[in-house]
Amino acid sequence: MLTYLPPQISPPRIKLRPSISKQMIITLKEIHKTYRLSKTKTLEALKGVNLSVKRGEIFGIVGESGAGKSTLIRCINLLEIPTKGEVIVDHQNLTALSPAELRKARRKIGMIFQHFNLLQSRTVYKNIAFPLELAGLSASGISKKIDPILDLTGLADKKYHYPSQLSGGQKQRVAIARALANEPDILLSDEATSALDPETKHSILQLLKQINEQFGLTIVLITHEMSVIKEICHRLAMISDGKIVEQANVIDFFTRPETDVGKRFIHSQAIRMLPESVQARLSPQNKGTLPLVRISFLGDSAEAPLITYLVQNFSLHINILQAQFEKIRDEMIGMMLVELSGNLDDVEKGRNYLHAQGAFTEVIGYVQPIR
Amino acid sequence: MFSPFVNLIFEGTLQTIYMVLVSGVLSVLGGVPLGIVLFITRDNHILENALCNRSLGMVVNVVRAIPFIILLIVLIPLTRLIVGSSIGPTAAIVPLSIGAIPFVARIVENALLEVNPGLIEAGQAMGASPLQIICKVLLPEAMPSIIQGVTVTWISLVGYSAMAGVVGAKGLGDIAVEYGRYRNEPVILWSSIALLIMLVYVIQYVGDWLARRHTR
Repeated sequence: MLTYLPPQISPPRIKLRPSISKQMIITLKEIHKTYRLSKTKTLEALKGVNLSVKRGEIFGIVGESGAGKSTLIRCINLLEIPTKGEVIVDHQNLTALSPAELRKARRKIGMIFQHFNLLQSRTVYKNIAFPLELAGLSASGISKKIDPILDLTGLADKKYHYPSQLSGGQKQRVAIARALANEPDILLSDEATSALDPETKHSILQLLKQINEQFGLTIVLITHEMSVIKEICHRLAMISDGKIVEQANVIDFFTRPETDVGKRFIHSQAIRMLPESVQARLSPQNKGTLPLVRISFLGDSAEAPLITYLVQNFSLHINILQAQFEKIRDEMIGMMLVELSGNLDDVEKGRNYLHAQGAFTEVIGYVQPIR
Repeated sequence: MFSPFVNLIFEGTLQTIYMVLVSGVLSVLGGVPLGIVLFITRDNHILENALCNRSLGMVVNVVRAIPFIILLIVLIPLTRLIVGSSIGPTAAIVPLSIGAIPFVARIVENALLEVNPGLIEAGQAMGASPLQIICKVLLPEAMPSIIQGVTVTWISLVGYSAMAGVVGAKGLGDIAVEYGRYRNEPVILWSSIALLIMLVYVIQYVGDWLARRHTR
């Protein structure tokens, strides 16, 4: 039995949408944030975070609760003031601004929250008018701006309702409308879909995606759910224990992870999908066992009958353990976990063939065959 | 017999209304800003200032700890200084207001504490100044509880104004004690009690109505 696998050949990388510029709109440099809990106790929430967000992209920061993502997103508009480090937004060092200058800069950074944070005493219209009032706009100037935003967010018929009369999804739409009223360059989203049911979550994410595409608005969101990242983000950062442990293009991350952290995450997700009986026979080392290969198919390769071709032309035995299609942003991606067996030459040729077709293969473990 | 009785009660009612109204308005004018300052200077609030918060908090606690009847007597020199006399409804307004201001301040502080902190954060994120946060976020959002708290204060002021009768403040409370207790005239006693009850009902009704109008 042959278990040798040839070195991996990289398929061409996926390019970002052309509307995303190379120019950075947000740069965080060596951000530290330490909270004083008591006289003797401190909590280091952020431990030297470096992050850059490009103008026009949707950038997702994912991490478990307590990882520091909430603190991190609040450092972008300085709701949390970093203990150390610089926050550069649109070529302006926010950490060096006076309070009045900071307030002006914040008007160009919209923010939405998990629990919406709408003013209960104001109608939908008045809530959206709020940031414009703060900026000193006249009543007529305000009303001219709000109607198009109401249409965009699908709230035209809710104009004079109070937040208590709205559903969660509608409340978040009001919050989005409010965040857009000042025509910001950046929208920060703090777990904005975490309190919503799956269907509403989807519609809010689609709204964010639409706003990003229509206005080129840069969106930075934090979430604990990978599904949110998969649905709308161009790039992602993983945060763990106050540090950024991975930054990658989202499609690359899910099809061909490069860092150890990324690989561990993707592999453990793949393995979790396997039946328990297979998981029991799995080991990370090769002890005369069959390689468990994760194949990801991208674009056209996702729809071509590649496995059939593989079996017919390379006399490989392929045992498909798991297969699925997944949509990442607008891209269809096929993922498959297979046991491969055959002679060395054929395995190598087979993998080369797959790589040439734009698929990506990777050994994620070895399976003890059933005797 | 009938006419002096009516005149007496009518005059007493007006005096009570005058005392409650003026000291009620003064307690709001003094208590609301004080309550706001107590709130915003707390730790981790928009204008955190421990020294200011502690010292104001202490003053408020001291005044609230003094029983009203004692406050009335203690404040006699101050009342003389401000009003020129320590007797009569106008003189009673000084201790009534000073006693009620800390009460309103705590009520306002507690009402503001109940405002969702996320709203302050949202306001800051939109570039609101501390003053804008107070006027456009905190006060409108806390309005129903502030109105309810002020209603309670005004009702207490009706009771305290009766107590102020002891130092010659006149009003319905004074009439009830004077005529009911010392001259044994139950009709006057019960009439003044009935009017006090009506006054309390009116205040409660108006307070509830205003609070309801602000509740969303």
